Amino acid sequence: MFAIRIDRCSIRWDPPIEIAGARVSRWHDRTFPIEFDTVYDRAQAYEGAARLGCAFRTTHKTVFNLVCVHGDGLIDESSFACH
Amino acid sequence: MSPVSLAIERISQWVGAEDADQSLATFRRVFAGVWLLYDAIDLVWGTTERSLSWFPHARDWRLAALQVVLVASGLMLVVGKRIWMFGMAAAAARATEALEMFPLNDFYFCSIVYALIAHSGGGPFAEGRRPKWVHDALLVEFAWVYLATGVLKLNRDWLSGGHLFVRTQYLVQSQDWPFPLPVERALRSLPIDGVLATVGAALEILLSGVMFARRPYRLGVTLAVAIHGAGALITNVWFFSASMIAGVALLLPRTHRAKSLTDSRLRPPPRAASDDG
Repeated sequence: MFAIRIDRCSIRWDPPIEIAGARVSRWHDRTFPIEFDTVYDRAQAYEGAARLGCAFRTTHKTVFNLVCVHGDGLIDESSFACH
Repeated sequence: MSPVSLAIERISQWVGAEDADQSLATFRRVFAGVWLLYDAIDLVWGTTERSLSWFPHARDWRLAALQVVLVASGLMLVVGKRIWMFGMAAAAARATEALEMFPLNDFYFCSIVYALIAHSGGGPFAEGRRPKWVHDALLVEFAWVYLATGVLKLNRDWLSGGHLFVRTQYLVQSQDWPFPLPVERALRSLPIDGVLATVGAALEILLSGVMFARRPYRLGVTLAVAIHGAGALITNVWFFSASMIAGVALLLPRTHRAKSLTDSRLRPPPRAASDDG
């Protein structure tokens, strides 16, 4: 786990999606404050997860935003429309 | 006496030897307590379940059953009742959790520790003992963990600082992690992360040497606090960190030299020869 290159991304939905009656604007809204997290190793996996989250959107105009941190020291941000 | 007979006799003596103090029992309670808290959170909030799939889904009853076993076993290990039975149950449950559900390296580590501390009260056939071999085996396990993790970090991806950069900046981006501003700025620098990563790997290998050599105590504890304090604060790893610090602080023997120095401080200073006239 320390010998591979990893990416991590934060995910936001705007407007918030709705899961089990709760408004969820960030991926972290559904994880425990410390220690426990649901993470992937690749930016593409985060994008896929964010798209799956679109199934819980409350409006067709929902967009999701990814801020991805890469092992080469880069941080990039991108937004996509939920389809 | 042949070398084989001598070896068998030495092993028999080692297996039959009693530990010098209560540090093994204290470690058992602390380690079980740390992971009891982890498993209680896991059972109540379904955190491992959520780690397996963030999206809504039916709870896996097998995972919940394992967590119930782990909570019950942890509680019994903390209070020190039926240590062998509940220690082995915890080891089996944790290993199953790792092998069948969620292959987290912490879980593999825990399952081995549980299997060892299950024998810290003498095992099923010799209850009431304090077997030295369990203490020795735990020291070797901890030393091995530091050696393996330190050596595995000697690769380009870790030493470049990329891992630390990703892990720390992810916490900033996703969780608004409360780094003091100068620390956040420093961690945003890949060269600084590279230096920290290199120092971290070197300290782990050094601590491995301390654990194998079983001395010096203060250096070992200082290294453990530095490594895992940083691990908790800048990479959000709390329970493994706490159990590793407890292991080093409680299992590493306090050296005779440190003890004799302490004793000498308690004694009144000897009178100088010139005082005698």
